[in-house]
Amino acid sequence: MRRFPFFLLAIFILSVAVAGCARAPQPAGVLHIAQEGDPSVLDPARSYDTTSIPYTRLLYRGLVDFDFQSRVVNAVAAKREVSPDGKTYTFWLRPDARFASGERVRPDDFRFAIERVLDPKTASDGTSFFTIIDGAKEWIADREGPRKLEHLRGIEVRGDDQIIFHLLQADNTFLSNLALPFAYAVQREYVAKLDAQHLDLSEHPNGCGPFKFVEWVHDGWLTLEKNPNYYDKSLPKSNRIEVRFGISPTLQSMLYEQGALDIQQISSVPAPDFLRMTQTLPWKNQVLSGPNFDVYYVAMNNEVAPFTNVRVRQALNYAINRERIASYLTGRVQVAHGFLPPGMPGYNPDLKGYNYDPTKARALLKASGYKDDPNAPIPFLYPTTYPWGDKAAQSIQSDLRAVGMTISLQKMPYGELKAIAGRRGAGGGRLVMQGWSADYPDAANFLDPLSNGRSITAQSSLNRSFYSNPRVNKLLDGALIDQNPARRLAAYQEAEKIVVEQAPVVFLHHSQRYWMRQPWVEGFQLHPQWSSAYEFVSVAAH
Amino acid sequence: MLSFFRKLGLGLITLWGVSLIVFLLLFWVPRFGATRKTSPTDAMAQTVAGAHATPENIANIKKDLGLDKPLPVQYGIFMRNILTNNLKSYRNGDIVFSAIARRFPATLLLAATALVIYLGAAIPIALITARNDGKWLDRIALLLALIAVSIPTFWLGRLLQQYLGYQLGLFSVGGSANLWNLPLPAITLGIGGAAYYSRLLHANLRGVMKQDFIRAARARGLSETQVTAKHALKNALIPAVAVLGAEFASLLSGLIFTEKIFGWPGIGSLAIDSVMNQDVPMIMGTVLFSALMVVVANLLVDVAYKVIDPRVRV
Repeated sequence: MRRFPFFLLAIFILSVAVAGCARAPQPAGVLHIAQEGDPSVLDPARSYDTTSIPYTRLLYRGLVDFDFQSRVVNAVAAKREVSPDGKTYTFWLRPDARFASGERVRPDDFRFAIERVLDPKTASDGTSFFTIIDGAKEWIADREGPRKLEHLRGIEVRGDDQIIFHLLQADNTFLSNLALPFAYAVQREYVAKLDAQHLDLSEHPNGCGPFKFVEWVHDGWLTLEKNPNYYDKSLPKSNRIEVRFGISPTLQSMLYEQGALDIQQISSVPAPDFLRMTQTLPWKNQVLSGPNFDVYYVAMNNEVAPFTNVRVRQALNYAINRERIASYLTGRVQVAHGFLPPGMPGYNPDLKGYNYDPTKARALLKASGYKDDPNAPIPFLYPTTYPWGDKAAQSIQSDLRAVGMTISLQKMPYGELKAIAGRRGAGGGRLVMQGWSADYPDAANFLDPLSNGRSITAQSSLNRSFYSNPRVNKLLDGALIDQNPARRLAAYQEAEKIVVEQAPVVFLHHSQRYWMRQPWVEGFQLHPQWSSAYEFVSVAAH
Repeated sequence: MLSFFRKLGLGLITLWGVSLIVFLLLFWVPRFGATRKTSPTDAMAQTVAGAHATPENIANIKKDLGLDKPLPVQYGIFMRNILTNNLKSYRNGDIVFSAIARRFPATLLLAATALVIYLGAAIPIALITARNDGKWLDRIALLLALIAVSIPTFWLGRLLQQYLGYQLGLFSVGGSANLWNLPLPAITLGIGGAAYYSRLLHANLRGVMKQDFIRAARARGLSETQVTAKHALKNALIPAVAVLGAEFASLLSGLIFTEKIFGWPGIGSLAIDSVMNQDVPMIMGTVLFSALMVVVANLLVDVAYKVIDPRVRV
């Protein structure tokens, strides 16, 4: 008991010592970031969401990549050639590209990556990006059944440095597909070794990217270190990246302001924090913003009445106040006039969309002969995942009631909503609010899935308005194989103009992203395709 | 000794009961977020498959995980996985008890520090208020204790984080498990516990102070401090040990709100993340771990009783 006062004194001294040290010392060259959610995976074959891609691309690299101007540039490929008919792509690899484990990157590592994506056992979301390769369908069937084929026929490996892709038909988006994480180099022997030990590549990544894997504690933290074997010796600019997961946006803002975080995404922080950071000094000088390649819209089922009538569809576009919905997101969006977002190649700033005009909406509904029945409202489905979804849905309900259309609101988990929205005919949706994010910066990645009749399927349809217009379909199909870039973009602009006039959906908005970086951080830029490109970021002493 | 083993056996039966209830709640009763159209096992397979999965993927995953089998068989698989340490997260394939073990040191550090704050504050307060029983000092302490006990932890945590951490910059606002980030979550947890414990000890001390051996100690000419601190406190602590054990178990089993608020990567934040991600094996693992902590704490309390007072029969 006599020792008790000393014990209290020790506690007091410790408290005083710790108080005033608001944060741990931050060494130079270490990039500190935090986010709320854990990455889903760190396996390139399964990296298809915004939580996984930023880290997978730091660990791995592909033949090609997107630069800051959205152009496809060589990465592990030193040189590339496309045949005049657009059906054969040949790449020569850099001799100095090596995996973090030290082995040289060979053409077979790229062939294996795509064969793995096309193997149903991998359960990759990237299968559809590579079915254009000759023999892909046979390969998928073989993997499901006999497993007799040694390799995918359409990918040819020559020597130590050459890989050739043979396509079934020309496809201008193929290079973009090769820049996605699905096509990043994966070492066949390494995966076989992991399989033999029942280990998962996602937990033990080994890529040829600018960083190498150190540790990942799920929902806790991820540590990456500079990969000394990376082919570009000028990168990465930092020695280490430490990411903390499970940190709420509010706590992220506090940590950033205390200097414990070097970079912070503020797109989803609470509105008061967002306004303070974007409007007051010193924070507003540290903000970077740019468009996201996405679109939020309300799909109207064009095959089901009353949305078979173009006047009804146009009426809805005039009836809904998009500015009001944008205000629910504290202005972190841009009102959409069509499918293509600003910054996307082919975006037409002069495209005339629909302004808020309830009078015109009422007139169009009347001219269409639409008869509203308040006792049989049209179901309006929206996902639970949008924080602004409730307010937006109520706003739309109120706007439509004002012009003479009654809808009933139904909120549901995204997986369920997606299944209903993609179902054609009975059992499908009639009015569904949803979003689309680009896989890569190409107009085809918006207009083809969302408005080409080819994208309509009985189940899991990507074209969820079930809109099909022969002229639009022809323009889009032609643009996909046209080798002339200017003519391609003109075709996409013409197709989008028709789509907007025909109004298969209600175009709502495109989201904007906002990031902050500390004064001691250099080289951080918003990448148009990848939300972040941390390999270019350096952290000075502070 | 025989009694100890009997209690150990009872503890194991309790753990089995908890496993059964948790299993039925998760596999039998439709889960959060899932409508009547989605069966619990379908929703679990969807969690494994990811948002872009096809119905075929989901069917294959159900088959692989045994989710298409009858409920008793599924329970058998679940128990086998627990006993062979093969229970894996549906979301990332992590072995559940390894994930818990990785986070245990962080939670233990926070819980132990909070407990030190409990005792460091509660014992002196109880000694002072017991000596001033019924006086203004005691009344003020009672009022403050009532306020401290009534404040919800999640609110107190945010309050301390906002003012002591963010506004005044005295402490780190959190973000990881290290000594810099320890003070605020530990104080958050310690305040309520200290308030409760100080009143409990105060009440015990008041009862003990009326007993004959205290009068005898005074008659021997011992100072009031010696009487209270040496003779009365030891006896007052005996009934309080049971409460302390239960409190520590509850701290270890998951400081859910506090860990989440301060971004402290312990078992509490793991539990909350697994619920948010509908990761059923991880939810089961964290609940079973909580139950295990309660059972272990009860056994330790019995042992502690025996050490403090050998007359107690365990």
